[in-house]
Amino acid sequence: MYDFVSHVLRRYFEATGWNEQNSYLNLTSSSSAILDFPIPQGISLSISSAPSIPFFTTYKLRALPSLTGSLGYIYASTDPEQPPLDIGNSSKDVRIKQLIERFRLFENPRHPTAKDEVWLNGRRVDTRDYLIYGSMHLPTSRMDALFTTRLSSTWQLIMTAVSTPPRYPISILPSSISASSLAGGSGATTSSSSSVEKSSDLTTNNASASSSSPSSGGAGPPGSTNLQIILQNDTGRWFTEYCYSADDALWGFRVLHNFGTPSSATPTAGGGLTWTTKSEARIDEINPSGEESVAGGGLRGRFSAGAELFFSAVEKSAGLSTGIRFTTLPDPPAAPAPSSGSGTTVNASSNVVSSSNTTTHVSTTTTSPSQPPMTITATLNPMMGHLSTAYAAKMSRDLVASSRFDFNVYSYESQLSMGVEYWLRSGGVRGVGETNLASLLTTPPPSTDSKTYSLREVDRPRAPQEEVGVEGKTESEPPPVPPTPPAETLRGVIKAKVSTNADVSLLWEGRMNNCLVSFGVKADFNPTSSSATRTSRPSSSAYSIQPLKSVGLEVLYFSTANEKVSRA
Amino acid sequence: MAFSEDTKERLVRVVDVTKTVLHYGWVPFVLYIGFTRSTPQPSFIKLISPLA
Repeated sequence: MYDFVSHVLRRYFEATGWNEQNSYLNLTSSSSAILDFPIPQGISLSISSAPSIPFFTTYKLRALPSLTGSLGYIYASTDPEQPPLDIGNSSKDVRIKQLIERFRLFENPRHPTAKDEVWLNGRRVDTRDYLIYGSMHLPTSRMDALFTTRLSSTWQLIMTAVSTPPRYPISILPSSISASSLAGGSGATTSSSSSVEKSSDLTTNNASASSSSPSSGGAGPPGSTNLQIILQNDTGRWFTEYCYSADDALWGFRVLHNFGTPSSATPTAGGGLTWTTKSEARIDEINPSGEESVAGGGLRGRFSAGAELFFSAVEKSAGLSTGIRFTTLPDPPAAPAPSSGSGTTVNASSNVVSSSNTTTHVSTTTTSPSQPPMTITATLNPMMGHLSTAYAAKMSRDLVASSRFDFNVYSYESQLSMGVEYWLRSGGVRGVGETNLASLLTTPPPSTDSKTYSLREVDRPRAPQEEVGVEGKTESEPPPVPPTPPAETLRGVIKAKVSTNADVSLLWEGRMNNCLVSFGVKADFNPTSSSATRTSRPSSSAYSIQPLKSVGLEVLYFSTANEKVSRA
Repeated sequence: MAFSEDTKERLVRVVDVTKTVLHYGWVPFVLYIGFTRSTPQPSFIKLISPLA
């Protein structure tokens, strides 16, 4: 489960039209959400609120292993012309899928939307979108900072910092400075990625080698500041990132390319697309007929390939990672195609995406059957010789399964991991929701003209609409309003993972009263691996079989001012 | 041009004071930004207590 800061950051990206899923860091996020889900550590309670909507306060209390806390503030400035930042009102009402790391099909890459320029007296008066965050940990006095802003429509800057309090705030000797700088350089391997783990899950749920640092109380020696600067450029087809970590002078470069038809192909996209503006056009709607690659078996999908290169000037070391992904295209939503080109959906980017999605696929998906949503990835680290292939597929509406095979070409070590993700729903409205959602997922949008009355349709709880449809044929009334999506009936998710190393992880995440709760257990049933890998454990207990490695409980509660007003 | 020892020490002190100010001043800075730029301005108690 994402913490509150990550949740706000993701909603901020959503509000500003930034597709963070297009990064190379998220290349394997579909399978890692099922196979590498984090288990909560100890007991954690997080309470957040929004005194006014773009301004948030968050408090966190941790217990077991030690009692710690943190106090943070977030402020986001977005375009006032656009819909405000929507974090889901409260933890009681928020869509639970927004807070859970889960299997998802990657959106069609799109060119980021540009803000409308506002000029006044010859000067541009509109401001940049930005988000600023600061958090202080107690009693360690560690400080986390995050600042992100949109430099232009395709460029974004993210700065994160983790600072530990100086031991001697004012009076300091030059000798101790040199010693601390040396110590900072030696600790660079662990702190290079710890600066970003707090900022968001942006850079943690990834396939790169810099994602394995657990959350620790200390981020380095006293007085050290780990500043990381990430410059991102997204054009839809290309997503490039330039990173710099000041602590160990770590330079990084990531790139992801989405294959498909070139964006400079035939610019005519049919009369139905004329309502979209130039900046909102996606690269795959330029040529709807031959938009994406077709893999064997008739799957319609998209290939993406990327690479990551790191170089540490302090340690004189480098790292390289490459990867490729095939993902099926998401099914179009069963909404009617936009009629007559009204410009009402220009402002909301999400509406534009869904609507244009319908227009581009309506010609093909009405005739071809749907396909199982799935993602296949392969990553290779040539220096370490690590090869990893993963497969994740949605087997039914609520069940997603994934498997991954890791292999080292130098040591011939291998590991097979398997995991599932199962969504729990409330039993009261299960029938209605299941039917409707299943129809959304597996069948093409129903056409009212070619209605076939079969026994299967009679079973559907949509008899009143059929009556309206039959009567409306003679009276030539407008078609009935399509059934609204069912209310959110998800209660939570269960994730389970097992690997050939005999480690088992179980996680339940769901809503309990007004809170979001996450409970996880991790166990290791292999005594040899536990003694070999658990170097931090004392040697006396290394050979004792203790399957239970960690148990954790995390409770998240947040509310906004709107929610309080509506209640009062 | 090499810095003298005094200059080095002064530089180190300035850098250290700057880092200290940034370390303890960042969270109040975010609080100030959020408080002044949010409309309507929230009451002070809402900034302190999450349950207010």
